[in-house]
Amino acid sequence: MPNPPVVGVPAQGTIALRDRDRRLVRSTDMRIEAHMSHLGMTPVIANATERDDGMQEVPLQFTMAGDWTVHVTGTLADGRRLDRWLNVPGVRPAE
Amino acid sequence: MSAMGGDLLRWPVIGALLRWRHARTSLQIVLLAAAAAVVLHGLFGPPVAPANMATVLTWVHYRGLLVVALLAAGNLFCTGCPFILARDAGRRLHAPTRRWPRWLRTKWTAIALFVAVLFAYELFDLWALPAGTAYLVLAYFAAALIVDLVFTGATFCKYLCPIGQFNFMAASLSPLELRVREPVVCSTCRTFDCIKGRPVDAASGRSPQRGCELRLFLPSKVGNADCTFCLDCVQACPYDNVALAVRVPGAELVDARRRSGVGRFTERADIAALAIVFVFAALLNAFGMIAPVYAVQRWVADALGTTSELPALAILFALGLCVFPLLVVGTASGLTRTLVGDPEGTISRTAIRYAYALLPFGFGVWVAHYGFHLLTGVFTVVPVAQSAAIDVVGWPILGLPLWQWVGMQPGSVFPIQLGFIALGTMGSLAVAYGISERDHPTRAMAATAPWAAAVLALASTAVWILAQPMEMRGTIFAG
Repeated sequence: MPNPPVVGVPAQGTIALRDRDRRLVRSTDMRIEAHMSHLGMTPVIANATERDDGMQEVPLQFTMAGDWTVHVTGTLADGRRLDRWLNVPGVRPAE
Repeated sequence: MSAMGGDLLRWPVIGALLRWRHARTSLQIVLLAAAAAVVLHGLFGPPVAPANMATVLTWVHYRGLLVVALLAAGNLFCTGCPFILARDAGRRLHAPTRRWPRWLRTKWTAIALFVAVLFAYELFDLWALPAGTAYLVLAYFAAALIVDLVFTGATFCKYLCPIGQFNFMAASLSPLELRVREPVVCSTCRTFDCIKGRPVDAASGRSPQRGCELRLFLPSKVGNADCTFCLDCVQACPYDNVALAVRVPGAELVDARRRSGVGRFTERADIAALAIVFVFAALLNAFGMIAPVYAVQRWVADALGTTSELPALAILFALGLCVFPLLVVGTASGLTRTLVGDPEGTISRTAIRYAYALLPFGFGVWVAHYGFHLLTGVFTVVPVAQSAAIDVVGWPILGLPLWQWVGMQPGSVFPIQLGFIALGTMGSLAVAYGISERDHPTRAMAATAPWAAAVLALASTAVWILAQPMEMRGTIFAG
Protein backbone atom coordinates (compact mmCIF):
# COMPACT_ATOMS: atom_id res chain seq x y z
CA MET A 1 0.00 0.00 0.00
CA PRO A 2 -0.63 2.44 -1.57
CA ASN A 3 -1.34 0.49 -4.74
CA PRO A 4 -0.10 1.58 -7.16
CA PRO A 5 2.78 3.18 -5.26
CA VAL A 6 3.33 6.91 -5.60
CA VAL A 7 6.66 8.71 -5.81
CA GLY A 8 7.75 10.15 -2.51
CA VAL A 9 4.89 8.58 -0.54
CA PRO A 10 6.00 6.00 2.03
CA ALA A 11 4.76 2.60 0.92
CA GLN A 12 4.40 -0.65 2.79
CA GLY A 13 5.16 -3.79 0.84
CA THR A 14 3.91 -7.14 1.99
CA ILE A 15 5.60 -10.32 0.83
CA ALA A 16 4.39 -13.84 1.36
CA LEU A 17 6.79 -16.70 0.72
CA ARG A 18 4.91 -19.90 0.04
CA ASP A 19 5.98 -23.45 -0.73
CA ARG A 20 4.33 -25.74 -3.27
CA ASP A 21 1.57 -26.50 -0.78
CA ARG A 22 0.86 -22.81 -0.35
CA ARG A 23 2.16 -22.83 3.20
CA LEU A 24 3.97 -19.77 4.39
CA VAL A 25 7.74 -20.13 4.53
CA ARG A 26 9.63 -18.08 7.03
CA SER A 27 12.75 -16.17 6.17
CA THR A 28 15.36 -14.31 8.10
CA ASP A 29 17.28 -11.28 6.93
CA MET A 30 15.05 -10.61 3.95
CA ARG A 31 16.35 -7.62 2.04
CA ILE A 32 14.75 -5.63 -0.73
CA GLU A 33 16.64 -3.74 -3.41
CA ALA A 34 14.27 -1.84 -5.66
CA HIS A 35 15.83 -0.81 -8.98
CA MET A 36 14.46 1.64 -11.45
CA SER A 37 13.77 -0.12 -14.74
CA HIS A 38 16.14 2.29 -16.36
CA LEU A 39 19.77 1.69 -15.63
CA GLY A 40 22.05 3.71 -13.48
CA MET A 41 19.48 4.94 -10.99
CA THR A 42 20.13 4.67 -7.27
CA PRO A 43 18.26 1.66 -5.88
CA VAL A 44 15.98 1.83 -2.85
CA ILE A 45 17.24 -0.60 -0.25
CA ALA A 46 15.24 -1.79 2.75
CA ASN A 47 15.18 -4.68 5.19
CA ALA A 48 11.97 -6.61 5.68
CA THR A 49 10.47 -7.43 9.06
CA GLU A 50 8.77 -10.74 9.62
CA ARG A 51 5.32 -10.53 11.25
CA ASP A 52 3.98 -13.05 13.66
CA ASP A 53 1.88 -14.63 10.89
CA GLY A 54 4.96 -15.21 8.73
CA MET A 55 4.30 -12.41 6.27
CA GLN A 56 7.16 -10.05 5.51
CA GLU A 57 6.68 -6.30 5.67
CA VAL A 58 9.06 -3.88 4.07
CA PRO A 59 8.92 -0.10 4.01
CA LEU A 60 9.72 1.42 0.62
CA GLN A 61 9.68 4.89 -0.81
CA PHE A 62 10.02 5.03 -4.57
CA THR A 63 12.04 7.94 -5.89
CA MET A 64 10.95 7.98 -9.51
CA ALA A 65 7.82 7.28 -11.49
CA GLY A 66 7.68 4.40 -13.91
CA ASP A 67 8.52 0.71 -13.79
CA TRP A 68 10.65 -0.77 -11.04
CA THR A 69 12.23 -4.16 -10.50
CA VAL A 70 12.62 -5.47 -6.96
CA HIS A 71 15.40 -7.84 -5.98
CA VAL A 72 14.44 -9.95 -2.98
CA THR A 73 17.12 -11.84 -1.08
CA GLY A 74 17.16 -13.63 2.20
CA THR A 75 17.68 -16.90 4.00
CA LEU A 76 14.87 -19.44 4.27
CA ALA A 77 14.16 -21.37 7.44
CA ASP A 78 15.93 -24.42 6.02
CA GLY A 79 19.06 -22.47 5.25
CA ARG A 80 18.56 -22.08 1.53
CA ARG A 81 19.20 -18.69 -0.04
CA LEU A 82 16.30 -16.77 -1.51
CA ASP A 83 17.06 -14.75 -4.63
CA ARG A 84 14.14 -13.47 -6.73
CA TRP A 85 13.41 -10.57 -9.04
CA LEU A 86 9.90 -9.10 -9.04
CA ASN A 87 8.33 -6.40 -11.18
CA VAL A 88 6.59 -3.39 -9.68
CA PRO A 89 5.20 -1.56 -12.70
CA GLY A 90 3.55 1.80 -12.88
CA VAL A 91 4.78 3.72 -9.86
CA ARG A 92 2.79 6.94 -10.19
CA PRO A 93 4.33 10.38 -10.20
CA ALA A 94 3.87 12.57 -7.16
CA GLU A 95 0.57 14.48 -7.18
CA MET B 1 53.38 21.35 -38.34
CA SER B 2 56.55 20.24 -36.64
CA ALA B 3 56.09 20.78 -32.91
CA MET B 4 56.11 17.48 -31.05
CA GLY B 5 53.36 18.66 -28.77
CA GLY B 6 50.96 18.80 -31.70
CA ASP B 7 51.30 15.17 -32.82
CA LEU B 8 50.32 12.34 -30.51
CA LEU B 9 52.22 9.88 -32.68
CA ARG B 10 55.39 11.60 -31.52
CA TRP B 11 54.53 11.50 -27.82
CA PRO B 12 56.45 9.15 -25.57
CA VAL B 13 54.71 5.85 -24.82
CA ILE B 14 51.36 6.85 -26.39
CA GLY B 15 52.99 7.48 -29.74
CA ALA B 16 54.77 4.16 -29.75
CA LEU B 17 51.58 2.40 -28.72
CA LEU B 18 49.53 4.03 -31.49
CA ARG B 19 52.19 3.29 -34.09
CA TRP B 20 52.38 -0.36 -33.04
CA ARG B 21 51.14 -2.47 -35.93
CA HIS B 22 48.68 -4.33 -33.70
CA ALA B 23 47.38 -1.35 -31.73
CA ARG B 24 44.01 -1.35 -33.42
CA THR B 25 43.63 -5.12 -33.21
CA SER B 26 44.40 -5.05 -29.50
CA LEU B 27 41.65 -2.51 -28.86
CA GLN B 28 39.28 -4.45 -31.08
CA ILE B 29 39.91 -7.62 -29.09
CA VAL B 30 39.00 -5.82 -25.87
CA LEU B 31 35.75 -4.56 -27.35
CA LEU B 32 35.08 -7.97 -28.90
CA ALA B 33 35.31 -9.49 -25.43
CA ALA B 34 32.90 -6.86 -24.15
CA ALA B 35 30.54 -7.60 -27.05
CA ALA B 36 30.72 -11.31 -26.23
CA ALA B 37 29.81 -10.56 -22.62
CA VAL B 38 26.91 -8.44 -23.81
CA VAL B 39 25.58 -11.16 -26.12
CA LEU B 40 26.07 -14.07 -23.76
CA HIS B 41 24.71 -12.40 -20.65
CA GLY B 42 21.95 -10.76 -22.66
CA LEU B 43 20.76 -14.10 -23.99
CA PHE B 44 21.44 -16.31 -20.97
CA GLY B 45 21.58 -13.99 -17.97
CA PRO B 46 18.77 -12.57 -15.85
CA PRO B 47 16.09 -10.81 -17.91
CA VAL B 48 16.34 -7.77 -15.66
CA ALA B 49 18.04 -4.70 -17.10
CA PRO B 50 19.84 -3.45 -13.97
CA ALA B 51 21.27 -6.93 -13.37
CA ASN B 52 22.43 -7.79 -16.88
CA MET B 53 25.75 -6.98 -18.56
CA ALA B 54 24.02 -6.51 -21.91
CA THR B 55 21.96 -3.55 -20.84
CA VAL B 56 24.39 -2.10 -18.33
CA LEU B 57 27.48 -2.27 -20.55
CA THR B 58 25.66 -1.09 -23.66
CA TRP B 59 23.29 1.64 -22.51
CA VAL B 60 25.31 3.01 -19.60
CA HIS B 61 28.98 2.40 -20.25
CA TYR B 62 29.32 2.06 -24.02
CA ARG B 63 27.17 5.08 -24.85
CA GLY B 64 28.75 7.19 -22.13
CA LEU B 65 32.35 6.26 -22.88
CA LEU B 66 31.66 6.74 -26.60
CA VAL B 67 30.83 10.43 -26.17
CA VAL B 68 33.59 10.94 -23.60
CA ALA B 69 36.14 9.50 -26.03
CA LEU B 70 34.83 11.66 -28.88
CA LEU B 71 34.99 14.73 -26.69
CA ALA B 72 38.43 14.01 -25.25
CA ALA B 73 40.21 12.45 -28.20
CA GLY B 74 38.40 11.27 -31.28
CA ASN B 75 36.64 8.39 -32.94
CA LEU B 76 38.26 5.75 -30.72
CA PHE B 77 35.28 3.43 -30.77
CA CYS B 78 35.52 3.10 -34.53
CA THR B 79 39.22 2.42 -33.98
CA GLY B 80 38.31 -0.47 -31.73
CA CYS B 81 35.21 -1.61 -33.60
CA PRO B 82 34.74 -5.35 -32.99
CA PHE B 83 32.39 -5.66 -35.99
CA ILE B 84 35.29 -4.85 -38.31
CA LEU B 85 37.50 -7.37 -36.53
CA ALA B 86 34.94 -10.04 -37.37
CA ARG B 87 34.68 -8.70 -40.91
CA ASP B 88 38.45 -8.82 -41.38
CA ALA B 89 38.45 -12.42 -40.22
CA GLY B 90 35.68 -13.18 -42.68
CA ARG B 91 37.62 -11.60 -45.54
CA ARG B 92 40.41 -14.11 -44.99
CA LEU B 93 37.90 -16.72 -46.15
CA HIS B 94 36.06 -14.71 -48.80
CA ALA B 95 37.34 -11.57 -50.47
CA PRO B 96 34.66 -9.17 -51.73
CA THR B 97 34.67 -8.20 -55.37
CA ARG B 98 31.80 -5.77 -55.85
CA ARG B 99 31.81 -2.04 -55.35
CA TRP B 100 28.96 -0.32 -53.53
CA PRO B 101 26.58 1.07 -56.20
CA ARG B 102 27.33 4.65 -57.12
CA TRP B 103 23.75 5.82 -56.56
CA LEU B 104 23.96 4.57 -52.95
CA ARG B 105 27.22 6.38 -52.17
CA THR B 106 25.49 8.95 -50.02
CA LYS B 107 24.44 9.16 -46.38
CA TRP B 108 20.71 8.81 -47.03
CA THR B 109 20.61 5.08 -46.28
CA ALA B 110 22.72 5.59 -43.18
CA ILE B 111 20.34 8.32 -41.99
CA ALA B 112 17.41 5.96 -42.38
CA LEU B 113 19.23 3.25 -40.44
CA PHE B 114 20.23 5.71 -37.71
CA VAL B 115 16.63 6.78 -37.27
CA ALA B 116 15.48 3.15 -37.41
CA VAL B 117 17.80 2.17 -34.56
CA LEU B 118 16.63 5.10 -32.44
CA PHE B 119 13.02 4.23 -33.23
CA ALA B 120 13.53 0.58 -32.34
CA TYR B 121 15.22 1.63 -29.11
CA GLU B 122 12.14 3.62 -28.11
CA LEU B 123 9.51 1.23 -29.46
CA PHE B 124 10.92 -1.93 -27.93
CA ASP B 125 12.44 -0.27 -24.84
CA LEU B 126 15.77 -1.87 -25.72
CA TRP B 127 17.38 -0.25 -22.69
CA ALA B 128 15.21 -2.57 -20.55
CA LEU B 129 15.67 -5.71 -22.66
CA PRO B 130 18.89 -7.66 -22.20
CA ALA B 131 17.96 -10.15 -24.91
CA GLY B 132 16.85 -7.38 -27.26
CA THR B 133 20.15 -5.61 -26.73
CA ALA B 134 22.03 -8.82 -27.43
CA TYR B 135 20.11 -9.33 -30.68
CA LEU B 136 20.89 -5.74 -31.70
CA VAL B 137 24.61 -6.40 -31.22
CA LEU B 138 24.34 -9.65 -33.17
CA ALA B 139 22.49 -7.84 -35.94
CA TYR B 140 25.32 -5.33 -36.17
CA PHE B 141 27.88 -8.11 -36.49
CA ALA B 142 25.79 -9.81 -39.15
CA ALA B 143 25.22 -6.61 -41.11
CA ALA B 144 28.90 -5.63 -41.12
CA LEU B 145 29.92 -9.13 -42.11
CA ILE B 146 27.38 -9.56 -44.89
CA VAL B 147 27.88 -6.13 -46.44
CA ASP B 148 31.67 -6.14 -46.31
CA LEU B 149 32.01 -9.71 -47.56
CA VAL B 150 30.13 -8.65 -50.68
CA PHE B 151 31.38 -5.10 -51.20
CA THR B 152 34.95 -3.87 -51.15
CA GLY B 153 36.45 -1.24 -48.91
CA ALA B 154 34.76 -0.14 -45.73
CA THR B 155 31.33 0.02 -47.27
CA PHE B 156 29.49 -0.73 -44.04
CA CYS B 157 31.39 1.96 -42.14
CA LYS B 158 31.12 4.66 -44.78
CA TYR B 159 27.57 4.21 -46.06
CA LEU B 160 25.55 2.22 -43.53
CA CYS B 161 26.71 1.95 -39.92
CA PRO B 162 24.46 4.09 -37.70
CA ILE B 163 27.03 4.23 -34.91
CA GLY B 164 29.67 5.25 -37.44
CA GLN B 165 27.59 8.14 -38.76
CA PHE B 166 27.00 9.34 -35.20
CA ASN B 167 30.75 9.16 -34.59
CA PHE B 168 31.62 10.97 -37.83
CA MET B 169 29.35 13.89 -36.92
CA ALA B 170 30.52 14.06 -33.33
CA ALA B 171 34.19 13.69 -34.32
CA SER B 172 33.98 17.08 -36.02
CA LEU B 173 34.16 18.38 -32.43
CA SER B 174 37.06 16.14 -31.41
CA PRO B 175 40.47 17.63 -30.57
CA LEU B 176 42.46 15.14 -32.66
CA GLU B 177 42.67 14.59 -36.40
CA LEU B 178 44.76 12.36 -38.64
CA ARG B 179 46.46 14.59 -41.18
CA VAL B 180 49.62 15.05 -43.18
CA ARG B 181 52.64 16.13 -41.13
CA GLU B 182 54.68 17.87 -43.85
CA PRO B 183 52.76 18.58 -47.09
CA VAL B 184 55.98 18.92 -49.10
CA VAL B 185 56.75 15.27 -48.46
CA CYS B 186 53.44 14.24 -50.03
CA SER B 187 54.08 16.43 -53.07
CA THR B 188 56.94 14.13 -54.09
CA CYS B 189 55.16 10.87 -53.30
CA ARG B 190 54.32 8.75 -56.33
CA THR B 191 53.06 5.57 -54.64
CA PHE B 192 50.11 7.06 -52.68
CA ASP B 193 50.35 4.29 -50.12
CA CYS B 194 48.05 6.08 -47.68
CA ILE B 195 45.07 5.31 -49.92
CA LYS B 196 46.29 2.54 -52.22
CA GLY B 197 48.04 0.55 -49.57
CA ARG B 198 51.46 -1.02 -49.66
CA PRO B 199 52.07 -4.40 -51.25
CA VAL B 200 54.42 -6.94 -49.76
CA ASP B 201 58.03 -5.80 -50.03
CA ALA B 202 60.27 -8.74 -50.95
CA ALA B 203 63.48 -6.84 -50.26
CA SER B 204 62.65 -5.66 -46.77
CA GLY B 205 60.19 -8.39 -45.94
CA ARG B 206 57.54 -5.90 -44.90
CA SER B 207 54.10 -7.39 -44.95
CA PRO B 208 51.37 -5.75 -47.04
CA GLN B 209 49.42 -2.91 -45.51
CA ARG B 210 46.08 -1.72 -46.76
CA GLY B 211 45.40 1.94 -47.37
CA CYS B 212 42.37 3.94 -46.31
CA GLU B 213 39.30 1.83 -46.96
CA LEU B 214 37.07 4.90 -46.70
CA ARG B 215 38.87 6.53 -49.66
CA LEU B 216 40.39 9.41 -47.72
CA PHE B 217 43.56 10.57 -49.48
CA LEU B 218 45.66 12.19 -46.77
CA PRO B 219 47.04 15.17 -48.71
CA SER B 220 43.49 16.34 -49.43
CA LYS B 221 41.78 14.97 -46.33
CA VAL B 222 40.01 17.68 -44.35
CA GLY B 223 38.61 17.05 -40.89
CA ASN B 224 37.28 13.84 -39.37
CA ALA B 225 34.34 13.12 -41.67
CA ASP B 226 34.32 9.44 -42.61
CA CYS B 227 37.54 8.82 -40.67
CA THR B 228 37.37 5.74 -38.48
CA PHE B 229 40.79 6.38 -36.90
CA CYS B 230 41.79 2.94 -38.16
CA LEU B 231 45.41 4.16 -38.43
CA ASP B 232 45.90 2.24 -41.71
CA CYS B 233 47.30 5.43 -43.25
CA VAL B 234 49.84 5.70 -40.43
CA GLN B 235 50.99 2.14 -41.05
CA ALA B 236 50.99 2.50 -44.84
CA CYS B 237 52.88 5.77 -45.30
CA PRO B 238 56.48 4.91 -46.20
CA TYR B 239 57.66 8.38 -45.16
CA ASP B 240 56.14 8.36 -41.67
CA ASN B 241 54.36 11.54 -42.68
CA VAL B 242 50.99 11.06 -40.99
CA ALA B 243 50.31 12.85 -37.72
CA LEU B 244 47.57 12.47 -35.13
CA ALA B 245 47.37 16.20 -34.76
CA VAL B 246 45.91 18.29 -31.99
CA ARG B 247 43.51 20.85 -33.44
CA VAL B 248 40.73 23.30 -32.58
CA PRO B 249 37.52 21.28 -32.08
CA GLY B 250 34.81 22.25 -34.52
CA ALA B 251 37.01 24.46 -36.70
CA GLU B 252 36.57 22.04 -39.62
CA LEU B 253 32.85 22.86 -39.70
CA VAL B 254 33.70 26.23 -41.25
CA ASP B 255 36.08 24.72 -43.79
CA ALA B 256 34.55 24.77 -47.27
CA ARG B 257 37.42 23.02 -49.02
CA ARG B 258 36.79 19.90 -51.01
CA ARG B 259 37.43 16.93 -48.73
CA SER B 260 38.94 13.75 -50.12
CA GLY B 261 36.38 10.96 -50.17
CA VAL B 262 33.64 13.35 -49.06
CA GLY B 263 33.48 16.40 -51.31
CA ARG B 264 32.46 19.82 -50.07
CA PHE B 265 30.25 19.92 -46.98
CA THR B 266 28.52 22.93 -48.53
CA GLU B 267 27.40 20.79 -51.49
CA ARG B 268 26.41 17.62 -49.64
CA ALA B 269 22.71 17.80 -48.81
CA ASP B 270 22.86 14.29 -47.36
CA ILE B 271 25.61 15.13 -44.90
CA ALA B 272 23.81 18.33 -43.93
CA ALA B 273 20.68 16.25 -43.34
CA LEU B 274 22.70 13.81 -41.25
CA ALA B 275 23.96 16.72 -39.16
CA ILE B 276 20.41 17.99 -38.63
CA VAL B 277 19.13 14.53 -37.68
CA PHE B 278 22.10 14.13 -35.31
CA VAL B 279 21.16 17.37 -33.55
CA PHE B 280 17.42 16.93 -33.30
CA ALA B 281 17.70 13.25 -32.41
CA ALA B 282 19.70 14.35 -29.38
CA LEU B 283 16.73 16.38 -28.19
CA LEU B 284 14.22 13.66 -29.11
CA ASN B 285 16.18 10.91 -27.37
CA ALA B 286 16.37 12.96 -24.17
CA PHE B 287 12.74 14.03 -24.49
CA GLY B 288 11.74 10.38 -24.59
CA MET B 289 12.72 9.92 -20.96
CA ILE B 290 10.60 12.61 -19.33
CA ALA B 291 7.00 12.71 -18.20
CA PRO B 292 5.59 15.14 -20.80
CA VAL B 293 6.36 12.73 -23.62
CA TYR B 294 3.92 10.26 -22.11
CA ALA B 295 1.28 12.93 -22.05
CA VAL B 296 1.95 13.63 -25.72
CA GLN B 297 1.91 9.95 -26.63
CA ARG B 298 -1.27 9.39 -24.62
CA TRP B 299 -2.95 12.32 -26.38
CA VAL B 300 -1.93 11.04 -29.80
CA ALA B 301 -3.04 7.51 -28.95
CA ASP B 302 -6.41 8.75 -27.73
CA ALA B 303 -6.84 10.85 -30.85
CA LEU B 304 -6.08 7.83 -33.02
CA GLY B 305 -8.19 5.51 -30.92
CA THR B 306 -5.41 3.02 -30.34
CA THR B 307 -3.49 1.47 -27.47
CA SER B 308 -0.46 0.66 -29.63
CA GLU B 309 2.66 2.71 -29.07
CA LEU B 310 3.75 2.47 -32.71
CA PRO B 311 1.62 5.19 -34.34
CA ALA B 312 2.11 7.66 -31.48
CA LEU B 313 5.86 7.10 -31.52
CA ALA B 314 5.97 7.42 -35.30
CA ILE B 315 4.20 10.74 -35.11
CA LEU B 316 6.55 11.91 -32.38
CA PHE B 317 9.54 10.96 -34.52
CA ALA B 318 8.07 12.67 -37.57
CA LEU B 319 7.51 15.82 -35.56
CA GLY B 320 10.88 15.69 -33.87
CA LEU B 321 13.06 14.72 -36.82
CA CYS B 322 11.20 16.25 -39.76
CA VAL B 323 8.64 18.94 -38.93
CA PHE B 324 10.47 20.65 -36.09
CA PRO B 325 13.87 20.69 -37.83
CA LEU B 326 12.33 21.93 -41.06
CA LEU B 327 10.67 24.76 -39.17
CA VAL B 328 13.77 25.77 -37.25
CA VAL B 329 16.31 25.37 -40.02
CA GLY B 330 13.98 26.65 -42.72
CA THR B 331 13.05 29.75 -40.76
CA ALA B 332 16.65 30.55 -39.87
CA SER B 333 17.75 29.99 -43.46
CA GLY B 334 15.00 32.21 -44.83
CA LEU B 335 15.78 35.00 -42.40
CA THR B 336 19.49 34.80 -43.17
CA ARG B 337 18.79 35.01 -46.86
CA THR B 338 16.60 38.04 -46.31
CA LEU B 339 18.92 39.82 -43.91
CA VAL B 340 21.99 39.50 -46.15
CA GLY B 341 20.06 40.48 -49.25
CA ASP B 342 20.73 37.29 -51.17
CA PRO B 343 17.76 37.00 -53.53
CA GLU B 344 19.48 34.43 -55.76
CA GLY B 345 20.34 32.13 -52.93
CA THR B 346 17.84 29.44 -52.03
CA ILE B 347 16.65 28.49 -48.59
CA SER B 348 17.88 24.94 -49.09
CA ARG B 349 21.34 26.11 -50.13
CA THR B 350 21.55 28.32 -47.05
CA ALA B 351 20.30 25.48 -44.87
CA ILE B 352 22.94 23.10 -46.23
CA ARG B 353 25.71 25.63 -45.57
CA TYR B 354 24.56 26.44 -42.04
CA ALA B 355 23.37 23.00 -40.86
CA TYR B 356 26.82 22.18 -39.52
CA ALA B 357 26.63 25.14 -37.14
CA LEU B 358 24.15 23.16 -35.05
CA LEU B 359 26.52 20.24 -34.51
CA PRO B 360 28.35 21.60 -31.43
CA PHE B 361 25.03 22.17 -29.65
CA GLY B 362 23.74 18.74 -30.68
CA PHE B 363 26.89 17.06 -29.44
CA GLY B 364 26.56 18.96 -26.18
CA VAL B 365 23.10 17.47 -25.70
CA TRP B 366 24.31 13.94 -26.47
CA VAL B 367 27.18 14.35 -24.01
CA ALA B 368 24.83 15.76 -21.37
CA HIS B 369 22.40 12.87 -21.82
CA TYR B 370 24.75 9.91 -22.17
CA GLY B 371 27.14 11.44 -19.69
CA PHE B 372 24.32 11.59 -17.15
CA HIS B 373 23.68 7.86 -17.44
CA LEU B 374 27.38 7.09 -17.30
CA LEU B 375 28.04 9.22 -14.23
CA THR B 376 24.95 8.06 -12.33
CA GLY B 377 25.52 4.42 -13.20
CA VAL B 378 29.28 4.06 -13.62
CA PHE B 379 29.70 1.56 -10.78
CA THR B 380 26.73 -0.63 -11.70
CA VAL B 381 29.07 -2.81 -13.73
CA VAL B 382 30.60 -4.04 -10.44
CA PRO B 383 27.55 -5.76 -8.92
CA VAL B 384 26.43 -6.94 -12.36
CA ALA B 385 29.81 -8.56 -12.94
CA GLN B 386 29.74 -10.05 -9.44
CA SER B 387 26.27 -11.46 -10.09
CA ALA B 388 27.28 -12.79 -13.50
CA ALA B 389 30.29 -14.52 -11.93
CA ILE B 390 27.98 -16.25 -9.46
CA ASP B 391 25.76 -17.37 -12.35
CA VAL B 392 28.75 -18.83 -14.17
CA VAL B 393 30.86 -20.26 -11.36
CA GLY B 394 28.16 -21.00 -8.80
CA TRP B 395 29.72 -19.13 -5.92
CA PRO B 396 30.60 -15.48 -5.23
CA ILE B 397 34.09 -15.59 -6.71
CA LEU B 398 34.08 -11.80 -6.99
CA GLY B 399 32.18 -11.29 -3.76
CA LEU B 400 28.50 -10.81 -3.09
CA PRO B 401 26.94 -8.25 -5.45
CA LEU B 402 27.16 -4.72 -4.13
CA TRP B 403 23.87 -3.59 -5.66
CA GLN B 404 24.04 -0.29 -3.81
CA TRP B 405 27.07 0.65 -5.92
CA VAL B 406 25.63 2.94 -8.57
CA GLY B 407 27.35 6.28 -9.20
CA MET B 408 26.84 9.98 -8.68
CA GLN B 409 23.56 11.40 -7.51
CA PRO B 410 21.46 12.82 -10.35
CA GLY B 411 21.30 16.20 -8.67
CA SER B 412 25.08 16.41 -8.68
CA VAL B 413 25.24 15.64 -12.38
CA PHE B 414 22.78 18.32 -13.46
CA PRO B 415 25.30 21.21 -13.29
CA ILE B 416 27.70 19.15 -15.40
CA GLN B 417 24.95 18.63 -17.95
CA LEU B 418 24.24 22.34 -18.04
CA GLY B 419 27.93 22.93 -18.60
CA PHE B 420 27.98 20.73 -21.68
CA ILE B 421 24.84 22.38 -23.05
CA ALA B 422 26.49 25.76 -22.53
CA LEU B 423 29.72 24.65 -24.20
CA GLY B 424 27.84 23.22 -27.14
CA THR B 425 25.76 26.36 -27.47
CA MET B 426 28.81 28.59 -27.50
CA GLY B 427 30.43 26.31 -30.04
CA SER B 428 27.42 26.54 -32.32
CA LEU B 429 27.36 30.32 -32.03
CA ALA B 430 31.03 30.43 -32.95
CA VAL B 431 30.62 28.09 -35.92
CA ALA B 432 27.55 29.99 -37.15
CA TYR B 433 29.53 33.20 -37.07
CA GLY B 434 32.46 31.53 -38.80
CA ILE B 435 30.19 30.34 -41.61
CA SER B 436 28.72 33.84 -41.90
CA GLU B 437 32.19 35.39 -42.12
CA ARG B 438 33.06 32.88 -44.82
CA ASP B 439 29.91 33.30 -46.92
CA HIS B 440 28.76 36.84 -46.11
CA PRO B 441 31.86 38.70 -44.93
CA THR B 442 30.26 42.14 -45.17
CA ARG B 443 27.10 41.15 -43.28
CA ALA B 444 28.34 38.44 -40.94
CA MET B 445 26.47 39.60 -37.85
CA ALA B 446 23.18 39.90 -39.69
CA ALA B 447 23.63 36.48 -41.27
CA THR B 448 24.42 34.92 -37.90
CA ALA B 449 21.52 36.43 -35.98
CA PRO B 450 18.79 33.97 -37.03
CA TRP B 451 21.04 31.01 -36.29
CA ALA B 452 22.02 32.45 -32.95
CA ALA B 453 18.35 32.80 -32.09
CA ALA B 454 17.69 29.22 -33.21
CA VAL B 455 20.58 27.83 -31.19
CA LEU B 456 19.55 29.74 -28.07
CA ALA B 457 15.97 28.54 -28.44
CA LEU B 458 17.17 24.96 -28.84
CA ALA B 459 19.44 25.36 -25.84
CA SER B 460 16.51 26.56 -23.76
CA THR B 461 14.57 23.51 -24.88
CA ALA B 462 17.46 21.25 -23.93
CA VAL B 463 17.77 22.80 -20.48
CA TRP B 464 14.02 22.42 -19.94
CA ILE B 465 14.17 18.75 -20.98
CA LEU B 466 17.10 18.01 -18.69
CA ALA B 467 15.39 19.75 -15.78
CA GLN B 468 12.30 17.58 -16.03
CA PRO B 469 11.97 14.61 -13.68
CA MET B 470 12.65 11.35 -15.44
CA GLU B 471 9.82 8.93 -15.75
CA MET B 472 10.59 5.59 -17.13
CA ARG B 473 8.13 3.79 -19.32
CA GLY B 474 4.75 3.71 -17.73
CA THR B 475 2.13 1.19 -18.69
CA ILE B 476 -0.18 3.28 -20.86
CA PHE B 477 0.46 1.13 -23.89
CA ALA B 478 -0.40 -2.51 -24.14
CA GLY B 479 2.12 -3.20 -26.91
